[in-house]
Amino acid sequence: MSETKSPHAGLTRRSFLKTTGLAAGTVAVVGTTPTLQALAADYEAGQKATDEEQIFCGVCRGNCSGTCKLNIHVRDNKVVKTSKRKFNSYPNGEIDRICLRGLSHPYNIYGPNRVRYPMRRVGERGSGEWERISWDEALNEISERWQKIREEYGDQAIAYTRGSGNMGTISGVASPMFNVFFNKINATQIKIARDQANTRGINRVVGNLGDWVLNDPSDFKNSKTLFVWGANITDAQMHDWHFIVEAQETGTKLVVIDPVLTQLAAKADKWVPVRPATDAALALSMMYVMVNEDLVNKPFLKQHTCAPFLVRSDTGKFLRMSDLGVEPQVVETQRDQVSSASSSNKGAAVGQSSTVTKTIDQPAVLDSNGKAVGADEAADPLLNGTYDFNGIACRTAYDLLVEDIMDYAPEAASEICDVPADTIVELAHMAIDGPCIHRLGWGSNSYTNGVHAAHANITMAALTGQIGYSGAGTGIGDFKPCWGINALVKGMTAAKYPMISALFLPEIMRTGKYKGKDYPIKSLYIYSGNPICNQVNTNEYLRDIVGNLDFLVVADYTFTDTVKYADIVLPAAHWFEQQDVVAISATQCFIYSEKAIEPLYESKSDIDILRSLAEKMGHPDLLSLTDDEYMAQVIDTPSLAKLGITWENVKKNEDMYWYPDKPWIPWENAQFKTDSGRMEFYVENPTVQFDMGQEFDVDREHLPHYFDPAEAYEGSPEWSKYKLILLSERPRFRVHSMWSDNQYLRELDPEPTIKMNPVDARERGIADGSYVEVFNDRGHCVAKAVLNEGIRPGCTVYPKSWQQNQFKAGSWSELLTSVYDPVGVNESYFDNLVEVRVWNEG
Amino acid sequence: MANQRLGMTIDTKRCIACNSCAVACKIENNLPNNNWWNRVMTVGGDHLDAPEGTYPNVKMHNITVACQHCDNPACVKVCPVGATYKDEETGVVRQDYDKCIGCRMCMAACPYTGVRSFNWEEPAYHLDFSVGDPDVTTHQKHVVEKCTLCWHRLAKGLAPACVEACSARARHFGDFNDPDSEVSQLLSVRSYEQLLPSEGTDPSMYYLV
Amino acid sequence: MTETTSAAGSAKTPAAKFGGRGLNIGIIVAAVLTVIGLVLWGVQLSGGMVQTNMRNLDSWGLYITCFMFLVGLSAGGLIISSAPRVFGMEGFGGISKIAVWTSICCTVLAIGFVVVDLGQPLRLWELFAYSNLGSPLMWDIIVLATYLILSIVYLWATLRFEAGKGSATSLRVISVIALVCAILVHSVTAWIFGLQQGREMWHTALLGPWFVSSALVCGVALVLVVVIALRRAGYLQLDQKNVVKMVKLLGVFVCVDLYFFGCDLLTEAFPAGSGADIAAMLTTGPLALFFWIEVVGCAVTAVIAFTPKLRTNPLIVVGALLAIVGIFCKRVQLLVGGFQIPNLDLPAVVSGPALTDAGAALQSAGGAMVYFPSLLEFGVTLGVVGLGALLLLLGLKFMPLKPVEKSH
Repeated sequence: MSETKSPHAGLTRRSFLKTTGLAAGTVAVVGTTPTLQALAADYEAGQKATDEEQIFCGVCRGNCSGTCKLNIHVRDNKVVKTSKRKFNSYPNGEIDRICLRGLSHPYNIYGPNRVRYPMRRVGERGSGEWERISWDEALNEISERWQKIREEYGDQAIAYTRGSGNMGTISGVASPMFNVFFNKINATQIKIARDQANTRGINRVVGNLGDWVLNDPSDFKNSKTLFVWGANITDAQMHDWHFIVEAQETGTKLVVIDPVLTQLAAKADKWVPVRPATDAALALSMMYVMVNEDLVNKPFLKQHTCAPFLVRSDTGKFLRMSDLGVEPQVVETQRDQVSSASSSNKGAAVGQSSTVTKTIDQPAVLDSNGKAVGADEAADPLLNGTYDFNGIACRTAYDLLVEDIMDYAPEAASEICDVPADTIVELAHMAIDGPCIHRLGWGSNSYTNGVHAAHANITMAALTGQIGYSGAGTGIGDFKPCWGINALVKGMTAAKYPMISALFLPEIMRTGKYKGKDYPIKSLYIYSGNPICNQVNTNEYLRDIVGNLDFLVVADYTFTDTVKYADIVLPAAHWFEQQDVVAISATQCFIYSEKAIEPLYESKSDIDILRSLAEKMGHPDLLSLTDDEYMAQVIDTPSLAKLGITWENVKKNEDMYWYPDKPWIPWENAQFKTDSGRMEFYVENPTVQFDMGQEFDVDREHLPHYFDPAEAYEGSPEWSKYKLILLSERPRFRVHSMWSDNQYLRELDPEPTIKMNPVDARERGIADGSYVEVFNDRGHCVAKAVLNEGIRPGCTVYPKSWQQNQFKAGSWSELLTSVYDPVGVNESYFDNLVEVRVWNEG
Repeated sequence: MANQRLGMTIDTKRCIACNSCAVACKIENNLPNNNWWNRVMTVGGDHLDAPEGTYPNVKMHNITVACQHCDNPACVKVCPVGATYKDEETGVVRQDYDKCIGCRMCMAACPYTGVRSFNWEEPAYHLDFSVGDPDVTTHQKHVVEKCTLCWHRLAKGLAPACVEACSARARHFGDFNDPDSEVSQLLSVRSYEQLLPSEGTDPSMYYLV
Repeated sequence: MTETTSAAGSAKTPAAKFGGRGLNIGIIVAAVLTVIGLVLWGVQLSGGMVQTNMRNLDSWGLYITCFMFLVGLSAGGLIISSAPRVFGMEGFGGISKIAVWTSICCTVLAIGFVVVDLGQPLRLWELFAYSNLGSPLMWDIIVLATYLILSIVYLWATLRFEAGKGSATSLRVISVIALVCAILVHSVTAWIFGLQQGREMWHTALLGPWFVSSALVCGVALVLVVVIALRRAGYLQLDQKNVVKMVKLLGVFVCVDLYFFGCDLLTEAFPAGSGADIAAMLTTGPLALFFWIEVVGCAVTAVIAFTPKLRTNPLIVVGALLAIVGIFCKRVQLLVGGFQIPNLDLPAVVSGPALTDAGAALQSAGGAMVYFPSLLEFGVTLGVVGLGALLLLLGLKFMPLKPVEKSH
């Protein structure tokens, strides 16, 4: 076929075009349908584009949070193309989208890096030497090894974990099916320890509404100023960007607080190039300005926050009405619903009643007459003041906060954050002149002081009162998990052993002990994840975890760093080779993903792999329902039924919005999910994100503070050796490590790079484009130096998640600290110092 | 019927260099390896995503550059055999691979660096089957190719693949000769630039600034 | 072209009697080169032009440089042979046949270089079937073809005239047409480049006349070298007076050419805009070597031409060769320079295959030249040159190109 002047040439395969001249066809469209949407191909469910081509409804479901609905174009049983597919829940088309990754799926499916068959390791671990075996051999070997390990070390010695490589509800992150199987064999669940600092810092103030909630991006335009704190939205959540620019177009000011000039920062009305890890000090200083200039929202503080609560100086706890002789009430309340994004064991609720008893013992406040009364009874509680409770001084939570804030005058904070004092004042004025939305990213979350950065920011919302209405809010908001799915599918049992945070695992594996008791773990099953690439401190991971495992089983569809170290590799199916439904999504929709093609080679969907494992492990009937039936069990709940959402309807409509209203705004009417229903910026009973009995400084956790992170600051213990902070970016060319082997994208982004400021490069004699070795005590990594004036001097930025075989030497995750904050129990990806030197070894 | 002038507006305030348009083009047109008809450029420093200036006083923006489908195309004039030509009805600058003698006059003539690509070897592909649309023209060795404005899609009443794929909604497609078209409307309310206006080629790609 | 000269030179070695063993060896060598060239061309076509170092951002290279250069040589030769007749000048008649034959060989060579540069040489017929008469390349093809035919006719007419057939007037008419055509051929070749607004370095009205002056420089220089060589080989006699005349002419042409260059550089650089980049690229940048060889070489040629004491035969040959090399360097500057500075000098992924190892090595060593030919290109070039040499030598061997009484 070739292009010629004939309008029909090259188009003859399309029968419906044979009677349509080119000019006529074009004019019809361009002349009569001016909108962009009309110019996009619009396919109905099950529609065929042509006799040769079939279109399926698919969902791209990696961890970018987009979960975009795609047309999967299939020709000759091959996925030849993907394109954006219309969301029925948003007739205006605002969330119809696709990106470079969604577009390049054909390579992910058909590329040579696909795992085709079950394989057994024959060489050294990590050598990449395999032999092909049958499914039967693989399953037999797994079940035999597991049975042996269980007999020798106990059931807990089988562990399992995942990453975020699939947002599916039966084969992915939201799936209860893994718990059904592994709880049955009493295995140990290893919980990933990511994104936890933000969660802890926010949720301990406002409660849990399904994690990471924020006003829908379509509400950004209703804010006067949108503050983006350390979120590289233009790379990592590019699907949200158009909402931001549309807000700018209607007058919203965009403020980006980021040490790095991201594409987003370049578009900002104001870019605040802050020193890394100091966001908490900046937020506290903005609060200082608000307090100092008496700009705070006092009615909101009095009615909707813990500000007037009296805090006992002896215990640090709220003075309760029971202290003052008022009998607490006991009430029954509904148990919290289940978040689809929850990384807790989905069997946790087995055997629990649907209600919980709750003791209501109101905190005391000072009424305007100086008397202590219950918070809900006071007409006009005092924000400031002390109360003498039997000789124990009690002060209002607000006074304690203000005292804390007074350490952060703009001049002082300026020293910490490297932001001019007058800029801090300006930011405070912008933030008080609402409504404002503060979208927090994963930047400040990635240091050991991350809990406090989030805590400080949500506390600022308490001072401004800008939360819970259109144009006003503070939160993370990239993902929206459905709140209210049913995790208790048929066959679910409670876990016998507690979950273990991935950050504790190296020590447990090293010592064989957990909480002082023997706790051998000898086998690990990994699905939908690539921890050897994406978890911190790879050398520790390989030495302590992999090195102490007798048997590592990995199910994946491409050869990842983690697959490389497996003893048995199981070929998982690609997303488009199986049916699933997505329930964690920036779109806030359940989205149905059809099976477009049969699983390639000998691959199987994760749930089918589970079924096979269950059978071999002696539970042939455990996972006996069909995929459809499981999905129905997950979705068909009374609360969702009220919105008309059933599995049947989801399948029929392809996508269904799971909130009653649009745009969704969390915390409406300032109803918070804390005990008091208020924003408790004073945390009465600080707890940890994951309890392994670790100690922490309770006093520090009541209120937000700035303190140094573990390593990434001038003067840290590592400072004498290493003077560059190592930050990462989640580049548009991958989603974590997914797509890292996609050659379409590798043509655009061929090799690992490290971005440096020219000043730092000059000091080290590094030429632009030369290979450099980045190193610290933990490891090293070789990459090409790219000089970039958008990088803060003293910092380096690497686009993350290349695979080991793509480096000349080392890998990025080797350099990352596994030190964690005991409260957040979070991987601190940015809390690293490194040095960089010229690499001459070819 | 008046002739059309099909083209695009590309909003530089919206473009974040995500490369979705480039990849959409790559797949839709089953482009050979290393061949990119539509490319993202950073207007700033020496590298993609690098700004000009000195930290923190820096700035950058992006443009995407493909064939500009000029109203006065330099390439069409110089092609000795008429293998590159302007379609009078749509204004689209087209190429006939079967006719191209591979002299590369058009590449020398086009002022827009790098929008044309000569297949210096037998086209090779990452996958062993054709991806994208079945109606795109088969790629040939030793001929020049470039953006077709998704000619095969225009015939089906669809906008070019890059326009559909732009998640920033920075790209709009339409007829500049129709004052009611979306693109004409955008030009009437927004400031815009054409690339290298001094070349006198009058591109049908307008960059909204 | 130096290779041509040495090929011709090989013919003169056994000076005793022209047309002996030396000429035959020359013919064999040239034929072998031609065959090697054809084989390499086959390699280029089957394996792909990726084997050259041309890439999307420098899409023309050595072949088109040689094309430009050889069109110049050919036109120069014809102008030298026809101009005296047109203006009734004395003393050059004896060399006109050789000049025309050289010119014909150069034209064939020039066309050969266009052909080896084509991606689809089998589609050459389309040039005639689908001619786009608006394309300067088409103009050039027409003019070159006409010119080639005219040259042959002119040579044939000269031979007929010497054989006593045909009139001096008709010969003169043909020589007038040939002269016009020679000038045209050069201008049109210039327009292939000069009419392209997209390349700032090329886009100048001066390019036409400048190409003509360059053609005159290297045409005269080539004829001088060939004539002195053939005279030494005993193939022809020519009065030293006429040689000196020609040398003086060369001096004038060289000065005109340098003058044009000066005008052009000044115009580029003076506004201190983007043209200044071009001036910098030539004088101090990656093309400086070629620039200074040309300027110094041509200046030396002018000195030799205008200093009576220096007008010895060896120095004349040196001067003429310097002028030829200088003009070749000029072509390199023009061709490579046109691609060297991109209009959109912005970071972006580059479409098409990346630089070859050789090209990349050169880029890191030499700093920044976008293009340097690959070995294959040198090989094919040598083959094309071999073809030209073969034609030239065959002509000398088998055609009555020696001056006869009547040609004076």
